[in-house]
Amino acid sequence: MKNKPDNFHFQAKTALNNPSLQQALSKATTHILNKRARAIQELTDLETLRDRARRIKEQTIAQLNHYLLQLESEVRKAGGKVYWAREARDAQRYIAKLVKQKKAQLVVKGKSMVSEEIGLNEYLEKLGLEVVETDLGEYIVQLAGERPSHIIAPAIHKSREEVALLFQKKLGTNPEAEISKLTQVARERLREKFFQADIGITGANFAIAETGTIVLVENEGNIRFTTSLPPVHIVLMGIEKVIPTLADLVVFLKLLPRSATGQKLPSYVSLITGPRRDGEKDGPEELHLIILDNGRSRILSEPALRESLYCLRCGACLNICPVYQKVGGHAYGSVYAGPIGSVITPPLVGLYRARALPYASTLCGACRDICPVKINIPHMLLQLRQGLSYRWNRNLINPGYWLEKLLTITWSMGMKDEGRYRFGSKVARLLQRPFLKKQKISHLPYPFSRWTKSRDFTPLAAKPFRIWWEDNQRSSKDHERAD
Amino acid sequence: MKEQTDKTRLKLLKRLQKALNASPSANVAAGPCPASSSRACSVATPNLIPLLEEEITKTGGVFYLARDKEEIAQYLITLAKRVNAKTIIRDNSILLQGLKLDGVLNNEGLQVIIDYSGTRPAKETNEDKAAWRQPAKDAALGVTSIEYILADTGTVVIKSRPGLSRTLSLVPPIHVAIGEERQILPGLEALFSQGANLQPGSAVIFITGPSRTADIEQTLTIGVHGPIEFHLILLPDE
Ligand code: SF4
Repeated sequence: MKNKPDNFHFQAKTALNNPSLQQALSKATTHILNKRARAIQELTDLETLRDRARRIKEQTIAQLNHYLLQLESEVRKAGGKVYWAREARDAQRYIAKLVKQKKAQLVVKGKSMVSEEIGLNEYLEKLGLEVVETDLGEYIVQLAGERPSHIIAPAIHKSREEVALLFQKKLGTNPEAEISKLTQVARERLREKFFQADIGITGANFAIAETGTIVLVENEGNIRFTTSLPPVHIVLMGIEKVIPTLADLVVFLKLLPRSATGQKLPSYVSLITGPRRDGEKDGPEELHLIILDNGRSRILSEPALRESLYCLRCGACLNICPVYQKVGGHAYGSVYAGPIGSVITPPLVGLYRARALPYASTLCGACRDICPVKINIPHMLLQLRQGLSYRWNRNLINPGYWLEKLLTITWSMGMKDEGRYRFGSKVARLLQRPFLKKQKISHLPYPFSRWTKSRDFTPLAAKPFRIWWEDNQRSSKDHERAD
Repeated sequence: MKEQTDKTRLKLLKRLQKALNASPSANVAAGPCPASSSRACSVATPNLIPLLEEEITKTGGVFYLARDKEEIAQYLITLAKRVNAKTIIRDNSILLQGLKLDGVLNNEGLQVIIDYSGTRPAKETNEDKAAWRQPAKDAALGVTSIEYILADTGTVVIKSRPGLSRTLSLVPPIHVAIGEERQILPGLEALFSQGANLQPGSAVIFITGPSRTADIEQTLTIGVHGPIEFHLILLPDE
């Protein structure tokens, strides 16, 4: 069964009960965080850079139409084609048309979250195409028939032994769990695919409006192959990826790799401007840029959520999140996992369907502090929670509505009168007694079980504060007298 | 394929404008984006070579400071012998032509191919797709000139153009970049503040060290798709 956002609690529990996943997650997230911390330390002007990055994003998004139109005209000037897609299916159809026109059989892909978002692989496979993911992590995940569980490290949840077994089963290689050997297998298998492919599809880390340049950042070289060998290159980009100028790129090139993988610069940064030019021997004959909305304009129109469009998809907030560290990416049941995923999934798939995600956070603020563009994720999660509770809690058929009313009325009655307060706390102490085990309440009957299912309930102290206070006063007076 | 009809495009743009108007408070002061503050290298450029060497070594690359042009050929011969190479592919830049490498390498029994000598077939069948690129597949060494060198990251910048195909620095298992001292810049800021100089070609690639991955258990592995070794040979200014 495919994981879904509305099944978060169950999926999280499954992940928590999986010891090998727990080990893989804690090892990987700690490792990336350490590397990041070292690389970030080198930046003496970190705060200035973060502020500048944020300003650039704020100002670009505030004039999004202007910059997208500039990008469009520059890409066309460089010989590329531009297609505006409002929904996932617009993009799918455009690509399907191209595939048909080119009589394509084999598509190679470089890491693109947007293509996951629009379910491109399944769509193209249904049309009878062979679609091959070429990033090593994505390749592993594709062979396993899974979904990436991290933006930067898609196979973060798999151990080398699991990968070796997978390769043995799917590729018939010998089951040696040595990482360099496994990498070698992927190198050989995918090399031929690059040479045979009819179409290459990538995402875009940035798109420069001023020059019509697509910027792609990677370590493996698979994106360079994807953008150099197939005769057609399709770029799938969300509307928020545009930045004004090449000079702006510097700021992001300093922040993104450091935040994502703890590198100063990754092995390869490709700046692609239009298709191959006259006299060049390789590079695609055609370059198609698909600018995709698919729900982003909904985020744009909500002031409270707009800053989620500044995201660079560096993955740092996933690594630092105490919830992600425990449940991993698949538990979220959405394309975008972790703190930022919990913010952007509700507007993309619908608030009600993703209603569990805004609560999949402790609101500790670590994501906001680590984010290279200072996105205030906890604040947005609270906004989403507010939206959810407002809608649901005013619903008169919701038993919770009546229960909450009853509780608050009783509470306010108790708090207004000392006698009632004393009586009330006595009753509560009596009531809690059967559930108390080792000073903790771990199980309560329905409807309170909905709380204790995932956390303990703090019991009332055995001795009320007032009695403790009186005893304390008395004994300190005794001391004074003794002096 | 036909360009998109203006209707869908306009609809999307209108939708975006509506979304922008829906939250005017979020539209912070319109105007140009803040520019990068750092300027190009100051008048007295410090010697960047030690920094460059350190950074390239850190990323797993090899740095070699050649004393003269003759040493470059020697370096390539030694490298080719180590990996039992028979074929070397190089670009046709003025720099590489001027080094007159081919004769020396031929004398050592090494075949030198200059870019893709053959022409790309107009209509590629599956067979010729592989065939006309065979030289790059056979070559153990890809030798290219470069545009700029960034000292503080150990990066070389290559711009594709006729005679310097994108895949020369990608397909062979070893990539040897040859640069000159005057091409060294302190770092990214200097590169982009020269703006005009970096008129993007169809592909401008920044290369920092060999191809790498950490996709399995976050363990660093060198050479997944691209070159397994990266070398920079630097010719000092005369
Ligand atoms: S929200 Fe910030 S930290 Fe999280 S992925 Fe986006 S840019 Fe990175």
